[in-house]
Amino acid sequence: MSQTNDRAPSGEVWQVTPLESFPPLEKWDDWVELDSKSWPRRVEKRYRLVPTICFNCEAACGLVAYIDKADGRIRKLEGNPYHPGSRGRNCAKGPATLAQVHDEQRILHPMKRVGARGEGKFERTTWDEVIRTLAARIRRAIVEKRLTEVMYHVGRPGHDGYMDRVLQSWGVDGHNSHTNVCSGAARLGYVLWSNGDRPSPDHAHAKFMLLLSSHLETGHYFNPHAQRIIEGKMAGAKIATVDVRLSNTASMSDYWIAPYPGTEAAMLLGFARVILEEGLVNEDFVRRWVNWKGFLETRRPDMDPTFANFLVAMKDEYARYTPEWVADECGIDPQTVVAVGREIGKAHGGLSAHVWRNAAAGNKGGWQVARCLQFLCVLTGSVGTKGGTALAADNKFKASPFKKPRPQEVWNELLYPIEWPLAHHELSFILPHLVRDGRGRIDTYFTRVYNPVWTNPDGCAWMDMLANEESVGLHATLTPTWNETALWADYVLPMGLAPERHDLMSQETHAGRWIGFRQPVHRVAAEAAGRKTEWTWETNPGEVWEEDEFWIALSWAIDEDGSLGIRQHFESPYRPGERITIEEYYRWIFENSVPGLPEVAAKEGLSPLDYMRRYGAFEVEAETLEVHEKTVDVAGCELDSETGLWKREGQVVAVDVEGEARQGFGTPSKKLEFHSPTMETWGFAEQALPNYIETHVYWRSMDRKKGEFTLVPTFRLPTLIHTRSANAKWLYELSNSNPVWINAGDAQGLGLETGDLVRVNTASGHYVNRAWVTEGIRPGVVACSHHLGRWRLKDVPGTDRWAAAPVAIEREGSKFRVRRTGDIGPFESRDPDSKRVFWKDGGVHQNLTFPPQPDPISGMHCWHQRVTVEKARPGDRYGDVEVDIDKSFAVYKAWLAEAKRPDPKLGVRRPLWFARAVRPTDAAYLLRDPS
Amino acid sequence: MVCPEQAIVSGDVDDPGSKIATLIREEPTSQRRLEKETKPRVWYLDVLPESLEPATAAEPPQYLWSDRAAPPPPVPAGFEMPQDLITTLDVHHKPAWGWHVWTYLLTKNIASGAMILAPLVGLVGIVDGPSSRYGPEVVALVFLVITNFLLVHDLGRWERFWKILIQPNTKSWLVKGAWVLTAFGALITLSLGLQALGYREAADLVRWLDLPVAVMASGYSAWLFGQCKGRDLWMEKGLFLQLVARAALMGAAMGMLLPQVVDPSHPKAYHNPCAHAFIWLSVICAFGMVYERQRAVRGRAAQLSEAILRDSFRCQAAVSLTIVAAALAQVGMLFDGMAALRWSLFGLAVACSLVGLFYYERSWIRAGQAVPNS
Repeated sequence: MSQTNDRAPSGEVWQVTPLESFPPLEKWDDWVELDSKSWPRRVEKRYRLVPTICFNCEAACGLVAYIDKADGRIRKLEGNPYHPGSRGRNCAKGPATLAQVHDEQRILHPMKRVGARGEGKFERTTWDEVIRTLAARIRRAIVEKRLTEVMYHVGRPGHDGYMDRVLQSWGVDGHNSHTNVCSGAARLGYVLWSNGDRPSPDHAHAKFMLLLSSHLETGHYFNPHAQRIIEGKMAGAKIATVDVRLSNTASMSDYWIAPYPGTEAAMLLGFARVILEEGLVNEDFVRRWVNWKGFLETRRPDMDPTFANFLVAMKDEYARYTPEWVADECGIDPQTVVAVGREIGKAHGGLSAHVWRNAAAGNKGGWQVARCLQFLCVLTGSVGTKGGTALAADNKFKASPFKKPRPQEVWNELLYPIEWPLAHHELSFILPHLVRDGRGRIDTYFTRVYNPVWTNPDGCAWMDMLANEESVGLHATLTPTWNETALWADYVLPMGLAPERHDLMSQETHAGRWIGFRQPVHRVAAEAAGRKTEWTWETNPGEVWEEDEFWIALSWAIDEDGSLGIRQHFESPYRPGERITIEEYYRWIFENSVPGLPEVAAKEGLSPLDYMRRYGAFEVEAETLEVHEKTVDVAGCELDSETGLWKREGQVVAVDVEGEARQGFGTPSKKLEFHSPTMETWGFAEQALPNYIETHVYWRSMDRKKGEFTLVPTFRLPTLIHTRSANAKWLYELSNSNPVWINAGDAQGLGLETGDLVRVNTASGHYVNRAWVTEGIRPGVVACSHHLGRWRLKDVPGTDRWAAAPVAIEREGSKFRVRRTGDIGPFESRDPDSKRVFWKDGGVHQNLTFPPQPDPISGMHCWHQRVTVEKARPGDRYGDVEVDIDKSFAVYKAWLAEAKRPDPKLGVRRPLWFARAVRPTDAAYLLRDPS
Repeated sequence: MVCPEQAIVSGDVDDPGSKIATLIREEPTSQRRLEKETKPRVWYLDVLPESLEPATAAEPPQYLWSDRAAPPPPVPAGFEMPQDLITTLDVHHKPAWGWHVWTYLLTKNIASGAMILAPLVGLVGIVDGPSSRYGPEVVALVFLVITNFLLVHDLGRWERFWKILIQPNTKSWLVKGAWVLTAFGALITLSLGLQALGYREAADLVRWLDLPVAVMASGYSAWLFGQCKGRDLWMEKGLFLQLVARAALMGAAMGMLLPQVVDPSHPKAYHNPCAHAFIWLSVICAFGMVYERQRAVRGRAAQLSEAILRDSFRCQAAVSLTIVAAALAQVGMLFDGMAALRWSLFGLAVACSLVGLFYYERSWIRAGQAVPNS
């Protein structure tokens, strides 16, 4: 299953170039443009242009808001040409933020629940009341040492490190994230190599790109990456895309490879074997940077520890991954294995490879997919090179704020349960199951830009937990857009969209480093016009606030007299004893933590803060390559000849590489760990090397005659962003249904045609959707995109009506039934577009029917589902969902049983060198008596 | 600058140093439907031919990520659609021409038909009387007023009508048509005025002068539709003759009924050659509705449009009704002495004919726009 496309037309004019035109910077304060809607009359409009950062995905692309001086409203959002990541370009989701800002249904004031939780009845309250209530509650928990009962659960962070500081100042272990429904598996795979948990491919200069995803249209850092993939392609690079679907990206690639879901690691090891057998290994790099000696000593005591023997040992290790065996296992052509393996091998330093979700997120053992992919970068010497794949940490710049609080001293079992010592992030998606299992309760629960009822598997279990005031004492949801989880909140707190808030962002979009500054553009414009503001909500639409200030106000209120030691972290570094303003917070960072910024700003006669307000971004380093090769001054250090590590006062500072002290990687050996001693020590010796793990949806275990399929439920659409697209009419006009893709041959067997209703059965329930019959998907696999299938309880005001269909939810014991009570359609509002809604379906909410499947090692939810597909039964209606949360709980129990507690002899519950979100003190890692 | 990102490059094609001219010169480019001779000024780089050629991909009942704003065009029986090429997303455009247009075609033909009949009333044996002296003009004026109302209403904004008169694009058949209709209306009024003032011969002369204008008033629409280069169905040769034949049919119908309506007592009313003309013109028009259309270029879009037209129930009904009209008129003629029965049958025949023509114009206008332009 591969295809080869002709080369695209080439030539200089096709290169990605700077924007052809944009209002010159010196005119941003007063830019005059003709009003398009007044045409043919020539009506001049005056704008102030204020840069900010997009908040609709994590890529943090630059935006520029055109603020109409006449009415203070944002007229449009365009790209920011001064942003090093996005370079003035945006995808549909950026400019569409404007539709969210101006949406008529948007919640503009803090709301407080009045009916039963989950009933959907709210009344308006004040920020003051919100802060007072929450502060009293949190203060009580802190004073009573219930430091694991305050939890902040985040979907989209949108900033670097701000919340770590807040939570650590409170002393709680309460940071929960979405990561294990997203990238947790891939991160573990990458970490085991280098302690860098994300890849940062330099697509623009690559010789060969290996993409496990639909990168050109939807991949992680879609817009910054897509433009650089095209740049690389125009310069002659080839692309192989691995995807069960013929995505737009696959159709633009030189190779489309669609292995059986879950066999990707076998395919990647097949490529590795071709590279090994054909002598294409970048020996110089591997000899210098891979921990081969340790591997030989542990695994091949029969061999002399020489590099030549290492090459032989690797060949032995992967001998079974012959092209024929791989082709049979993966359902692809042996020629493809050889051809792509050779192309990768020849890339020699120029392999840019990327997996973030895709196969890593879908399968049991998916973390090994990332580990095997990085194996190819290592073999070809493409780690951190020009055109290769760097570590995120090298291309991302984290600026430190003033005054770091002490780490918390407690460990929260609801975040990192003992059964998953190596989970890269919190076991966030089984929170309701852990609570039901009696592992703890939550006193005060914040969900922030997070919609677990909708996004996570087994949403009905979330409804069940959130509705129970014993399990969750108080639930406040902080969100820029309407979401389903907010129905089960006690407080719905509207927070700013991209142009309504401060944040500092940096992402590894390419082989360079930059920071981007998100700012509330109304406030910036108001202050430029001389209007001083205390809080951002004074200038935002309604009383929409921003989290940064909310946390300052809340932390201050928790410890007003300073007796808890919290207040000191929220006192101004410029005005001792007084509460910090958000401006001062960022001013300090820009003045003290960003190398080069004060100097560059001074050249323009600006303060660092004013520079960031003006440009919205700063390039810290234009090109960052081969950071591990940096030489380190080891004067006064000792070399441990056994390990080759340079130490200063017991701390490792460098690694000896053929006589030179180098910075190396973040692993204990400072080398790339082909063999992971950590895995060996923690009881996973069989997974210490890059390896292929049989997935939970292994194709040989499926009975196609019984209608069994692998459901791939994770693929994204280019124009939507999870549930944060809410309130964006322009985006839903483009995408408003998510039919189930099924191969034409499979469809024929089931008697299905495009548009027919199908019932998809999982282990805990079923859903009813329409079929999309296509040749563009692997036979035996069905796929359904997420994002769509939004719903709202009937008659709850302030809910999105562009995408959410009205439903009724009936519960009988453990059984939930969600059924639509109507279609999406035109509706009355002050926005004339609301009468132009032509779509009805709105998609089907499939995630409700997925039981949680935490990977036994990485803790990642294994998204792919073993399903049966059938024609809809009599009485089935489009959008029907039925779930039994007892059944899903049983699935959780079964997966839990596969996880492995650490050996008590290890003394700690997690390797100390592993990163942990909001890391507590080392003492908190100590294993205590399980009883 | 239209597109700062330069996904769309615009500029001076005639300046050889411009970016756009360089691209066109040095890169393989495609253009949309050159055979239409519209001299398109848009060049596509690296484009799939299917995305430029309409009707080459199958239209599913829903799109890949979206509902459809309107159901897909019907696929006529026997018309093969590709299995492996499916439209996954398209923007729905409401058909530009709707009921105004098909109604206008009918009312205009009634007006034209009346004035084609007018100079012939004496020759075809219609008795002299108020019906022959005023009838055609009155009918023509009434329907011309309706026609003009539909035209202006269809423009959406009244001021556009003045713009057509004040700042005309003289190449456009919309403008030329407006002139023809203005001249047509003026001559009808003149003839009516002369009749009223008793200058009967002068009025007859004006009727003859108006005959070619009446023919043009019906037939100019052939060129108007011919301007819509993307609408293959409307490109047919012989459209002018078809339109005029339908106008003449309306004239014959009127000639068949007029004496009955205005002066039924006159004995000569029974021997009306218009009935013969009605029968023959019905047959000709029905043939026009079903004949294989001749066009300079017959692409897939043209074939699909035509297949949709043929497959349309209303088009089939139009043909049947037109034939039935002829048959009813023929039967009516057999009942020489039974006035009431004969006139009832003639009346029924004309009603069938009107409904048939209305249906046909409707189907033809709709089928012409059923296939997307791209």
